[in-house]
Amino acid sequence: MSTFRRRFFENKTAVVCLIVLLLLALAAVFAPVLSPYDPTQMFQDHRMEGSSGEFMLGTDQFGRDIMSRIIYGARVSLMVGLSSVLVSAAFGTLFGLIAGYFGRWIDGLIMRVMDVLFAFPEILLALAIVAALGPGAFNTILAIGIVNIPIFTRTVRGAVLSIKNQEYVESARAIGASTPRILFLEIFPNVTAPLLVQASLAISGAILTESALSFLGLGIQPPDPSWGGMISEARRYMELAPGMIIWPCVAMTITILSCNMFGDAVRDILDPRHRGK
Amino acid sequence: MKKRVLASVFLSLSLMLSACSGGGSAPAGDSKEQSGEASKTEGKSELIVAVDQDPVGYDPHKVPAASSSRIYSLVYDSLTKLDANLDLVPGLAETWETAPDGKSITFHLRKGVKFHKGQELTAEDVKYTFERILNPDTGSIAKSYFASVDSIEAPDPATVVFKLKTPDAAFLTNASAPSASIVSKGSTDLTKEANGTGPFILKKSEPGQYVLLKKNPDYFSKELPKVDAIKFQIMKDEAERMAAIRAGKIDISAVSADSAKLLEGKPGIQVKSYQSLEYSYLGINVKKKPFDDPRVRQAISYAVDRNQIVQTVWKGEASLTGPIAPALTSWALDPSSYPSYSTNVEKAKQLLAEAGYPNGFDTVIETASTYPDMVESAQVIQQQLKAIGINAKINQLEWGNYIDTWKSKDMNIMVGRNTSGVDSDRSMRYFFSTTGSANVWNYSNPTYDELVQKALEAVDVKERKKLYDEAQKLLVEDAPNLFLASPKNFYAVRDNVDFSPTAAGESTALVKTSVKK
Amino acid sequence: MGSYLVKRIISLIPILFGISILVFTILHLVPGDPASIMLGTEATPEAVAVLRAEMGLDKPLVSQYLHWVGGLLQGDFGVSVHTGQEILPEILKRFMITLQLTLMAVLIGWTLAIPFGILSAIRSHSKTDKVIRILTLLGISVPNFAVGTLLLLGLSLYFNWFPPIDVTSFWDDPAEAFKVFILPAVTMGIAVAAGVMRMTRSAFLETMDKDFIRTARAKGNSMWTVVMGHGLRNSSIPIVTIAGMQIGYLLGGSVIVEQLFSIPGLGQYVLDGIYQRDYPVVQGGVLFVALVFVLVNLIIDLIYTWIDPRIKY
Repeated sequence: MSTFRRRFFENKTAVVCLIVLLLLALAAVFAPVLSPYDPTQMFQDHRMEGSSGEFMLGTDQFGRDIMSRIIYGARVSLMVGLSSVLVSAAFGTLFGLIAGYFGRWIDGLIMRVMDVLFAFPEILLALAIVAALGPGAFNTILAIGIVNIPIFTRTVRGAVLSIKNQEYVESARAIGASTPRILFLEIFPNVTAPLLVQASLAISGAILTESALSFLGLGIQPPDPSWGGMISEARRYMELAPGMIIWPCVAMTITILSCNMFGDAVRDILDPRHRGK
Repeated sequence: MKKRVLASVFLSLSLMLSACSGGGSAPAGDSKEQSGEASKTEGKSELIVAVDQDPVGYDPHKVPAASSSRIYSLVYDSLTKLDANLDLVPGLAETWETAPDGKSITFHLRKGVKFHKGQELTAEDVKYTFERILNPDTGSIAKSYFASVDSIEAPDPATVVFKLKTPDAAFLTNASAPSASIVSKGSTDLTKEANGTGPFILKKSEPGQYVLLKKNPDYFSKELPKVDAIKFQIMKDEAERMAAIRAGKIDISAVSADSAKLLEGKPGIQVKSYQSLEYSYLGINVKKKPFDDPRVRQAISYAVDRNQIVQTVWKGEASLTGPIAPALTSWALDPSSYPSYSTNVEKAKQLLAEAGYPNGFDTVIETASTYPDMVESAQVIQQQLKAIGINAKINQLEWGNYIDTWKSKDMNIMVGRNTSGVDSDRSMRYFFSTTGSANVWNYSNPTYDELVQKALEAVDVKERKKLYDEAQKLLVEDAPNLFLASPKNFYAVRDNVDFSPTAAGESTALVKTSVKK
Repeated sequence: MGSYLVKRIISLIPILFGISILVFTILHLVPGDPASIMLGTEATPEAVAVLRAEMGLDKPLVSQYLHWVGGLLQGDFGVSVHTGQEILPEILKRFMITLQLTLMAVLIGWTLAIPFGILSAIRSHSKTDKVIRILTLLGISVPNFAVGTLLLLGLSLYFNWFPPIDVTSFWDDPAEAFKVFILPAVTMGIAVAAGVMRMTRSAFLETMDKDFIRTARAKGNSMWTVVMGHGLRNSSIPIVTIAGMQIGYLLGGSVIVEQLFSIPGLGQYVLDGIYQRDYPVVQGGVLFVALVFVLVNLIIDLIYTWIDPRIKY
């Protein structure tokens, strides 16, 4: 692990992305301290203004401060991204471990169910789930989480298949370790790398999916600001107040860019074939 | 280094290519002619109207959706019509008279009117139509409009007599509704065929794309319609409609107040507007705690600043309104006569305290995600209620879900939009009387019920007006709904199109619309 | 090979069956009722009841499901509860539109992605590589509805241009169809490019590391010859994989892009179906999309054997 750490800190991209992501996370946590205003407060006399000393990034159609909404939006968007990936990663890992380790009919059954979920058009599935459960942050997270379970299952299953017959697993079995012990203590630690890469990519996917749901009117509920919600609301005012759409897009771009590049960098570091490049 | 330059050149080239394949091929202004409208060169005129939704069916008696009604109201006629000022004018009936006791109405039909399939209109068709509407198996939404009808007689082919159980002051106006369209005798499945007498014939319907109407050459009014065809182009996104009218691909499109502002004064486009019959409202379930206490409802009314809604949501292009929209000029009361319309946070807090909620309470505002104006109104109200300690969560519901919630009579408060209707009876009795079919607020006030029933039966107009004045005041005081604002409707119209929409509706204006070559 | 194909096709049956159950269940869990939606807020309860009976929704769910599946087995997708229109012909018509849009988007995406992906791999970890990678990532980091809106409004504002409003097919009028599909295709193509470019780069990186490439280079062949002659073919399996997944995915109809540009494709058909709770439409549409998806994946697997004859099934 120490070699990983060394290689990680040698990789400038990875470090920069990590710092950006940490800063975003800090912004999200300390949103109440950092934002100049309450993100839902409406300044009636300052609707759709450009940047000014008073409102750094201008105001939206209600006269709400865009800066504050973006900072609070980090909270909502990162929460949706992280939590939904947590949902898909948890279930995906469980299913993937079981399918990969036991093989045979259990594998067949799990993977057929995943195929069913996978073949279902993504946005439509998320939309149907939200419509069925009712709108709200929790249900949005759940819907996006469910939609992404198959990808994680496949990733983990693949990784398990490649290591389950290696010596250390065999020896654990030989000394009579229980199956859960083998699964979670021997195999799981060795699938974390591909899982991490997949997760960093899935977070940006989840943030985008939330924005698509917002476009269809079923994302995070107003007046709570999510970046996707802000962008889809601002679309109607694109020509009147371009700042309303530009700033949340910038925030989203930075986040997604960092997530993806972080994922790529970690993949490069972990991949023995790319060593030394 | 060379490679890098090459790469950036290629990237910008490919971006330009995608832009130019659009921009280059159609010089400004005449893209429409270029897109090859053969019909135009032959001296025929086709009007292209952008609409936001697919029609959901064409049976005028069954489907009240605006997306459907805008089409079938051009295909069918009703007995009476409303002109641009919302005054009654002859439709398929040339004249009519009401008996002195108000209990029978006789219509004399226009002669020589033909259905699109060729047969002549007779009193039997009218009788059949109204019997179809009144038959519970049809499930017509217009049934409640004609609840006063006792029997229908057709003494000769040109005369229809309606015998009423009670006098019905709203009958003649209700008879003008598209949902009372006259269909030919014996027609049953109006989803599959549309055989009307109207100015246009339903020619083709491509789901998700367009609905094409062709001029009815035998229309009873010889000079109408003025165009040879109307194509309703389905464009769901406002940005798309706006871009299309700017580029001249469509002739007419309803637009929001924001877009209207942007399009105002742009070459080739005129912006038309009129005060609509619609109003947005905050509906309150008067059975649910804490809203069962009128003081709580009044507190909400004092807390809500309707002017901020007008300014923010409608960009100033809306009027304050009571239960009868201001477009019905002779019936609507001036909103300044309602005391609870003045914003007064102190008074609101005091009322809440009196009702036992000095610190406010938590609640949920439900609204439809489909309509941005509703979501925005909900957000403004949510902020304003915060000031008096009411913490509301907004629930944006997808349309099908919203309708379910609306009908459940079990919501807390909800933001929506209603059309006040062309007759006060609809605005008052239909939405708020104890038995009114759209009274989902559980509102029940015997005094109110009596007032609006009397008003319906009042033969004298002045008497009727007095009753409605009283009922309006009572309703605003009781506040089962907060009437927020009645918006102006905006249309973007190409310069060569003579289209003047009014509160009487889009189709009334479309029939008279002409295109300059 | 033949027996493999038969086996694969048989394995599709439980998947399709599972999808039919899933879509039916979720759809009926969604609150809302097609009759109420059609009649709107003004409808009386009796009117709704009459319409529900006409739509066949008054029967128990299990019998509705069996009725539907029974029809499917005979190739009958049923009719829309709203318009009474046959569903299968409508699906096929809209699929042809979605197909054209997909192919154009994929073409645009690949044209951008493959050359840049190769360039990026050859010059891996150089500045060129970084710029290209960031540019492609930019393409997927802004929601496509924002990109699409910008294209529509910008072109109408500055060039007075808007795509033709009637959808045409490439086989009827290629020039006109090009204009119809170009904006949505570019909007979708950007996202396609990001995925393919990523995969192309990593696949090439891997291939270029192999011994036979080193040998070829050592023999004094130019970089270009080596890349085209050896690299491309040997890197194509992962590229084909992701391309296939994208095609399968896009053929389900890009709901948002179709909505934005009023393209009457499959995605919009199903989305409208969900909004109006037109159960048979959504069920039929989703099942069809899923069928296409698994078939495309099957075809991809067959293409593997063609690219790399060593792969045998």
